[in-house]
Amino acid sequence: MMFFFGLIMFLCLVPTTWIYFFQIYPAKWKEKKLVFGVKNRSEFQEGETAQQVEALVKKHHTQALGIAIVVTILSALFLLLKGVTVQTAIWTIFIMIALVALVVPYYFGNKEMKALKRSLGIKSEAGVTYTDLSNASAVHALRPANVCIPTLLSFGVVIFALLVDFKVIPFGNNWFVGVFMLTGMAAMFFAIAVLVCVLAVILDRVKNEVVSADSAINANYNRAKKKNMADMFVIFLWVNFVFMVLWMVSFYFITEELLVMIALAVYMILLLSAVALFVVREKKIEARYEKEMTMLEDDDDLWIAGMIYCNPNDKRLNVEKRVGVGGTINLAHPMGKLIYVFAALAIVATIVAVVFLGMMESTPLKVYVKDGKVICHQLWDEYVIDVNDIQEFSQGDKLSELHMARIAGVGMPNMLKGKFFVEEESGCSVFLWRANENYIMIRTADRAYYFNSTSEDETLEAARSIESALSSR
Amino acid sequence: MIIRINELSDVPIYMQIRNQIVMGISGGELAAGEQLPTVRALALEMGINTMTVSKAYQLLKTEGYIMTDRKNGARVRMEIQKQASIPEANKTELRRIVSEARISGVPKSEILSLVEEYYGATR
Repeated sequence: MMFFFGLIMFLCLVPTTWIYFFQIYPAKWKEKKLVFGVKNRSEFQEGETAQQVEALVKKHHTQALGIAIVVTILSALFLLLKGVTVQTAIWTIFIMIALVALVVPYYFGNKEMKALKRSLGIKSEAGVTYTDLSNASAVHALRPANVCIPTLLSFGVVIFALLVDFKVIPFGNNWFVGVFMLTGMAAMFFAIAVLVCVLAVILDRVKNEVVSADSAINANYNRAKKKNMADMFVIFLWVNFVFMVLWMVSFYFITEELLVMIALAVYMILLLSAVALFVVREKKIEARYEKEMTMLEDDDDLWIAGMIYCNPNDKRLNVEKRVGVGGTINLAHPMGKLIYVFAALAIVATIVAVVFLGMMESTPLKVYVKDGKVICHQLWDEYVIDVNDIQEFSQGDKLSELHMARIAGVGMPNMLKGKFFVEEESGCSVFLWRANENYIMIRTADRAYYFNSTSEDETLEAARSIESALSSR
Repeated sequence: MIIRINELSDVPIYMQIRNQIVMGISGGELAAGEQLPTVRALALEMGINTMTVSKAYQLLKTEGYIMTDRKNGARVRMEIQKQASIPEANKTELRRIVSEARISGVPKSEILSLVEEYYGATR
């Protein structure tokens, strides 16, 4: 199971790394619009300067290639890792490190290119912008219907899942019906569809680039680029919808977690294929218009490290990325600052979540009876059941044979904690260490509790204490 | 027609827009009756405040270069009023330019040829 988790991470990271590498480190720099985020000028293409740029590009290209190879090898090795926490922690940290490491040569390349530009006496034209009056907000390639139809169909799947969970639509006597697992998953993929839909609309409305004095060329160039972008998002939305349907249909027959993992891997491959197609077509568009690009808007100094846009005079929040796919945020915009703070918080939260996960996996569950109360304890979670409230008590020794599905809480390979669906009964409180086959079931007036301790002896001891407390009440 | 805006220039942005639209009309890049983008669309494209574009359009309208109405937005006037005279403010500006050129040793012929070039390029 965990192998597939690793495989999904591998399929996310490795193709992204290589797509990113080919996008930001082109070998033939002379044909490109940008060299490490600095506009490629005619001055760079002449004599000694051309040799300097060539050497600079080669150096950073080689460094980045090395990093991409190391990322690929390490990713392959991480497939052999065992343990949820170890895998999650290593992959989370590694993805962050890998993506940052890949842009380090780019950062230095940008710095060196800016220095070279200054040494050539090229005066920066920061603050100068060009706008094509004929194309102002008039070039769009996204047809609303193309994104609305798959998004609405995805919403239809959510409604279907909801009706299944409310048992309005029969879906067999499967254990997952009624626990809102189907609805939850469908809603998650629908949320992705909505996000993609919004992103597609925003990016279709970004400022049109001015590459030529001829408005027709500008219009065609921008339309081609926006069409490519729109197509990618439409593919995303259809893949998302088809995946939702196939996943739901297949879930009717096979309810293995393994299936979910395999399906997610296929889903990632398809999405990344759409990105790869986008990159190839983008390169073709750039090559097609290369000779017609006669205008240069020199805003190099407004791009920190050639990647982060920061222009206090620009009122726009969203601008087209200089490198890579899609748009980016204007850091100087008040909302932009907020988004960057949120992004930083999200990174910190991810690291905290990994630590939290580690603590959950390594801290044993404790079960004991004290002052007439049954107490289940781990970290900050505690269930306290008064012995007088117990209506039914039983012990089991085949935990792995219990059929359980999570409604809310934690479901890790080593332990289950929270509200679960157990043996066709909904809303059970679960506090179980999976490696320990012994467990205790207690029923009170309002719910059933399934719990055990990490230690087998401790569980048996707790069971004896409960029995004796029950007999003496 | 391409508009070049310098955010760091001493000339206000609305005036830069106004000046370049006037040059566009004069040079034939903007034809009589040609539709201009809406205030919102142009502001969005340029990444500036809508009030700035609105101010430029208002000025162009007052000067008789464009006409605006709620239904059709802004258009270049079909018939621009020909006053056949240079306004006083422009005369002063021209005088300043000529004076600066003379002080820096630019020959009269070069100034005249530039005027010839710009005037010729405009129609």
